[in-house]
Amino acid sequence: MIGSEERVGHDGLEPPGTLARLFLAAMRRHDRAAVLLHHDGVKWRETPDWRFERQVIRLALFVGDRARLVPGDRVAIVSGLCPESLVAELAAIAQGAAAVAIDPDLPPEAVRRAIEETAPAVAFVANAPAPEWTSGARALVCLHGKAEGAWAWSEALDLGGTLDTPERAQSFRAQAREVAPDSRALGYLAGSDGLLQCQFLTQAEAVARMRALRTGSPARKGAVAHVSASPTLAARLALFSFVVDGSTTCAVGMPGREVAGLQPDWVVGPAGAPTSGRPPPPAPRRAGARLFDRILAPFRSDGRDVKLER
Amino acid sequence: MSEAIDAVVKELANLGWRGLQSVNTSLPETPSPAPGWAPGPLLKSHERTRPPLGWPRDTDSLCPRCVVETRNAILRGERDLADLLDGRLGEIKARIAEEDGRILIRKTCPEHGAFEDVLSIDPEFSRVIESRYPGRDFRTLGDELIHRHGTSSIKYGRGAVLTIDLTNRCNMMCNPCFMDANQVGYVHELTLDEIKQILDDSISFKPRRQMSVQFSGGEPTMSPHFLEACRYAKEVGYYAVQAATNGLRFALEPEFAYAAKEAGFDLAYFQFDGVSNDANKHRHISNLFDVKLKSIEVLHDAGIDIVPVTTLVNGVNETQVGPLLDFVLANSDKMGGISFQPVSFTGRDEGITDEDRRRHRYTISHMAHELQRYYGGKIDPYRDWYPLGAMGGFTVLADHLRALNGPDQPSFGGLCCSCHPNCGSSVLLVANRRTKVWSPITQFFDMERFMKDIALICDTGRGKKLTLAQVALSFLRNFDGRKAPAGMTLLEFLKLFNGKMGGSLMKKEKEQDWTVLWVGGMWFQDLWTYDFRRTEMCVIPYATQEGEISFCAYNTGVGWRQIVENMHMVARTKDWFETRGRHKIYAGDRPMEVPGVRKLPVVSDAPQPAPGAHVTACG
Repeated sequence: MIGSEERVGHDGLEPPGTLARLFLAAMRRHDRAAVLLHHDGVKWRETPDWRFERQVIRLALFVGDRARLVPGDRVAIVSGLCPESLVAELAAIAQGAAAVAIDPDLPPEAVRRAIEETAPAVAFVANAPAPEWTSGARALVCLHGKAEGAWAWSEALDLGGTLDTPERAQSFRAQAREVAPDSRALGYLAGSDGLLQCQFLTQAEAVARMRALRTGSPARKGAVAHVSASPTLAARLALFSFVVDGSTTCAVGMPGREVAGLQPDWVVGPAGAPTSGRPPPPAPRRAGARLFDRILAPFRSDGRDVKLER
Repeated sequence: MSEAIDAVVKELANLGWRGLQSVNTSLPETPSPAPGWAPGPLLKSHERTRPPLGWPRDTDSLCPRCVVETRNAILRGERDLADLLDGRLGEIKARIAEEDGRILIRKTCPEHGAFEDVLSIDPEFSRVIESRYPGRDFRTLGDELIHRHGTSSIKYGRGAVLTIDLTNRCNMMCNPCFMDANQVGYVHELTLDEIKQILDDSISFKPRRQMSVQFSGGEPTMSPHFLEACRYAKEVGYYAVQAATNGLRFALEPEFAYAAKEAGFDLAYFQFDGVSNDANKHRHISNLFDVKLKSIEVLHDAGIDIVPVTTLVNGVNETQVGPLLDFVLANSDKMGGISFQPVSFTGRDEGITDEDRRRHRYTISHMAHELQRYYGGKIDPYRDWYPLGAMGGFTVLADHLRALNGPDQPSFGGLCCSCHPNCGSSVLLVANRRTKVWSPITQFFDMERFMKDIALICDTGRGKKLTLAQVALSFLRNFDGRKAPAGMTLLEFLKLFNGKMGGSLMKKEKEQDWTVLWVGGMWFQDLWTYDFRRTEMCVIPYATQEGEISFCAYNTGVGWRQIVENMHMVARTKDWFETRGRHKIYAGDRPMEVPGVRKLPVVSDAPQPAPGAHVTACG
């Protein structure tokens, strides 16, 4: 059993060396009603930790069974930040694979080159991809809707659900605990459009970045974060830090008007001022509430440190 | 000194009660309230109907041979399902009568000859049980789409436990198994949408039932939708979420227990056959008892209540009744009681020989006498046992009090177990978790008189304050502190009672040292003991894609299970394994590898006590 002392963001406590272990620890011990919130167009939907963990396990079992994913493989996730992309990232990371996030808003040619550079064993795409994008992948999963030759998200979780026996679930956890701190975890693409290069943070580096991000901002029961940035490394690190702190509920991926009702303690938004059609981030809940770094690095300068601002 | 005060209080309460009732009963009864969840005004005791009881009596039963032939013909497509709905297929008359100090059921099929079986080995015990039955609950209303199974349809009551089979897959290979799990060659597994629909349908008619949901199977935790099903059941308002489970998953994956608790899972109805590995060997896992201990530990740590459930088979594990209750008493901080289920010969056992059936037959009366013998008379068959339906008397009071709450009306009726008195009986014990002292409640509380008092209070139907005052007086006059176990005071007992009434009398307090343990005997029918008067008032309906069906009509009698599962199977087992992967089945008399097995208190490891001996470390 992994204790709460291994959760990130708790002042004075040393986190373990891997993101995979932090995930297990947070799922085992947490003090929040939900880890994620997303708006379905009508109302806020909660994803409690038990459901989130089960989705991660089931997706990991699915890719293990259907794509023979092994530690060291790469998994491409061509999607904006959303609950599904987060599940996909953690399913890969927890099994020792590297999750490479690719911004779907890039020009199609840039996306194609990014996937080519990634050479993924498994690709998760937000919507139907061009056929040639993911031809090398052993499995292709469409996060939203269906696509020719791709597994629908619901199909992947459905099959993973049947595979989700206690023996396999514990095998998943055992493998997650064994992931080496120096194994690649978070992939990102750096460089210009013409010369993209896939770079990685190891599990240990990711944990160190998350710790730095949360220095002075410990987890607090009832805290709410709102993350609506592109899938930059910095935004992903912030998102992971909220998930694994065991306390924060994170609203992810819906920059619409409904966010006003959230009253988040932290906001992780797109670079600079809000773009057209996106309302400004809501005011902090109270005067002392923390405003997370809104100025996250845009995609091409990904990988730089971000800092927490009051 | 305390005993003298108790005696004075008791006598004063008795005088007060009599004085009050001399006025109360001379006034006209107040019409009962009609809460929105009920099909009409709350029933007064004289308005409650009763099934034919006593003996000799005639009833409708089944021919054990005709039913199997008919069911198989339907499954092969040679007969239409409508024949079963409208044709009374396999039905024959039966006579229940006392013979040679036993109660027997006899019936004769024109084609297959005579059949006979034992319903009780103690007619006086059965007479007492039937005499304490308070009557049926409401006749259901607006349930035509849910209860549509011909003569097997449920007609009365709001149910107590709604059973839903999530899957027929199982990770064990037991004998007996009333669903023949893993052996039928197909997979029947509900989708999450189907589960939601079933849960919605079950609260769509009146009386709108406050009931527990029990997910079953197969092994329900093998369903990929188990956690979501727990959550949804709680969201739509069910009282408690249970699962009939072998517990292996929780032992193998403790994290699952915590997830289940978070999702809404309240109670494990926990397969548990004896307090040694040897007593569980018929389940074909050589260290099953050790695994069960691990599972109990995990479930308790996760905050999930546990009620062990034991199938009792004469000649197999009937000597475990006492040791099992010892185990529950020793672990009363973890368990809310124990449910004994005398065997019903169904599923794989439907083809049992007459000789084996007679040898293995076990009834609730067997059990009552075994507990009397094991505890040297401390549990008395005639004083302490009540029909499960007696609990319905308390529901009447709870419903009545809630209906007097003015605008704060509940949207559900109270949990009401109003099944036929032949379906099950129970003993209520009080037990001190710290000192391990225990006794039957009826040792120090006149339950029979209290229930009559309750009926009178609800029938006369005065205002809330006067109702509560009468309940208090009745409580005082029926409590005998001199006979209570050490430390059990009137106040402690009142707190326990109020807790079991859902806080209807006063603010509910968390249980401390004392708890109430339920020792139940639930005897499901089989083709030889089948009685349609029981199925029509079943309180354990099976909710399926084809509506709600009585537990026995589904599992053990007509065999609706096979019909429904065949209609809605999702794959052949072989195809399922090929496309979705195999699940592990623990069998073959081999041990299971479970890390971190720790020992819980086991006070008796099944040595047979001498007749009349008082064997317990708890009393």
